[in-house]
Amino acid sequence: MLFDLQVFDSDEWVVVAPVGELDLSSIPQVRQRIVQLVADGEQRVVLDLAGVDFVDSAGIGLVVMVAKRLAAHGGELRIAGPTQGVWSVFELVGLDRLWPAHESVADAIAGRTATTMVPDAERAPQ
Amino acid sequence: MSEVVLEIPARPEYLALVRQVVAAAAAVEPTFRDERIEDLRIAVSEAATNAIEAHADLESEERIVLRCNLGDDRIEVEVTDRGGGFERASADSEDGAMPDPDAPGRLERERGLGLPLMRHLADEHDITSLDGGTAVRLVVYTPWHGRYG
Repeated sequence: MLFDLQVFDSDEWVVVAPVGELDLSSIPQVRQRIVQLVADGEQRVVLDLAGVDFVDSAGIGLVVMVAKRLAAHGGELRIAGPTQGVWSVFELVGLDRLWPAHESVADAIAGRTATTMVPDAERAPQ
Repeated sequence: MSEVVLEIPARPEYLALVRQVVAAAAAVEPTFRDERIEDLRIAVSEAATNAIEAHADLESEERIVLRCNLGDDRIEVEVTDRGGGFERASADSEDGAMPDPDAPGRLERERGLGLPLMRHLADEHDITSLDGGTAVRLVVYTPWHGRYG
């Protein structure tokens, strides 16, 4: 299964964008990169989930770890672009109440909270 | 029932294959809605992740077995590992309940969400302690379940 991790700067934020499935096989790569970013002094991170088509509790655990680590360094995590399918897992465990989803990276940086979620092409309407 | 059996090395890179096989096995039954197949994919991924981590803890080279049984009104998936038994499974979450996101110290629980997710996403689940391993059974019913019963 292909997995890719893109990291780039945008304004005063660093954007971390995993592409693929976020599970036990891919999270060590993301964790290692973010731990390094925080060690290098980055404090404001946008986790762009637009390219993530699957997440389970291991992926959720990664997000929690990142948020804790950033908070411990006076930083902040914002989540951008999750599909409805991915965001539903966050909702199931109640983490949507701790971190609102932003529709895009630009919205996350601007602090604009999504009012509607990105449609999930993989999920057929009931 | 039609049974599909998949045996995998206990390594994370096989999780995607597990999910693909489960989704494909469920899709044989056309009445399963996509969102129920997704529920099952996540639940099975949780069970297989627990199994892989249990094997890693024991440095076990044994394989993990996935059995998918497609019945008239359900799909049953069983994930069997040789990773040490029920104690570590139950330690994942005391009662399988979804933790309160607003509870103090909520962010201390970055792990332990696997069992609550399995419980929530599957219509039935049970965990059986074997001799030196654990079997997790997950069931998702078709929309036809019980309609003519």
